[in-house]
Amino acid sequence: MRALIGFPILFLTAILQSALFSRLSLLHGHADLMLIVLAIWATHPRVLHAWEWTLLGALLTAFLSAFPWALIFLTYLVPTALARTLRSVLRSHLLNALLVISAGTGWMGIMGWLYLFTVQASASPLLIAGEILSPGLLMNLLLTLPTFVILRRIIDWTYPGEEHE
Amino acid sequence: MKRFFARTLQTTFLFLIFSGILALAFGGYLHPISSGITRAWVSLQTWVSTRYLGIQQFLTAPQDLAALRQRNAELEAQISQLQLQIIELQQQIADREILAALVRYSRANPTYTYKAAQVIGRDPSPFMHYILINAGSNDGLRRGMPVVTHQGLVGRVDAVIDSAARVQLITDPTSSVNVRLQNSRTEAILVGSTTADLWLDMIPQQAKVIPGDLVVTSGLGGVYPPNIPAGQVLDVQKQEAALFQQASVQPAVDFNQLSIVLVILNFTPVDIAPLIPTVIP
Repeated sequence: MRALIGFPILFLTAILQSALFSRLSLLHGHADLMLIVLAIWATHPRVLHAWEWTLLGALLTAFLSAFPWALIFLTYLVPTALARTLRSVLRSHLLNALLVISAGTGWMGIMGWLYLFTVQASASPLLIAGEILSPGLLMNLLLTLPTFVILRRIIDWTYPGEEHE
Repeated sequence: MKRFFARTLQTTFLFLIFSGILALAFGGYLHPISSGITRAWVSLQTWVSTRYLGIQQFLTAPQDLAALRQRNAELEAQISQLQLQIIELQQQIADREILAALVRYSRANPTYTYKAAQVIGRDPSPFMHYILINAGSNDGLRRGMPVVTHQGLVGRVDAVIDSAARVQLITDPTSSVNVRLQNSRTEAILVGSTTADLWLDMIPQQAKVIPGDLVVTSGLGGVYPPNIPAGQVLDVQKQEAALFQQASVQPAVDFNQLSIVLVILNFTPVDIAPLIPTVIP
């Protein structure tokens, strides 16, 4: 039942993302709080409901964004898959989260470029990397630590002594 | 009898000494001695009093500190509240200025009816330039309606729910607006980009385009009403081998400071989709 805490957390994350973090841009990139939350959640060894959280997070983002639904789901599902793989390889939760967030930001760039290419509004990959992804990655990494501290407490409360998945 | 005599003698002797001292005192002969004693007394009393006050202060200080801390906390809370009030008032002043400008704009352009809406969010994806506004189908908004501010063209309504709508900004990479250069009357297409820069495309080679030229909507295509300012030409790129000129455009609207917008309610965009030829197998 405690896993239901995902609903309010992801709801709040979506609101904060749209109302606050999407406005705080560095060059043309901004932090993706949803990616950060999902990555920290999915990389924790005790978390059992990472896929459900990812689907819900993607759904909420899709509701707010004009980005195609399928690409939004792909944008978040692939980092979650990476997170579930990484947590069995590396022991450090924070390191895993940072790796997933970095890779997820890059993956989001690929998805964005793919979309722009399909709608014939393609921009140069170098421009996307320099103006959107690099500042976005920087802001994601800056936001990771405070989010990590808060989410760790929630994870410890949600999965107090359950076995690893 | 002998004992009584001795006591009387003692009393008399003491009385005489006491009277003698009094007589000397009244005569002013004991002043140096009395002043010395008084000085010593005062010094001693001052020392004792100072120490007492010090000890009393030390003992009562924690209570005062606690009271001071409480008072300090109260004042800090009051300052925070006042600062919040200042921020709210400043926001109200800014909103009022924007609203006044919007009212002036709507009075100057009475052809259209407007619905003011507040910007409540932005698209979470950095590749998409969309905003969310707090007016929806309940307020009469429909898909395709143009969105403006007193500064100029913002975009058009892309999706609507009951109480909110999503607006595609003209800076979106998939946006294209038919525009006209006000001075030369040249038609062109204003397109957005990933980096929110605006570009004028399809400018005929023979057209004379000067930086500073005002770009307004042409109304062609029926998507936007005519003569809404969209921006100003910044820089012209002309290549002899190219079919068209290009120009970068400074948007008329400051999209980073967008807080309140006007939706034009009585403009029905023309759906040209049925006119687009399809390949018949």
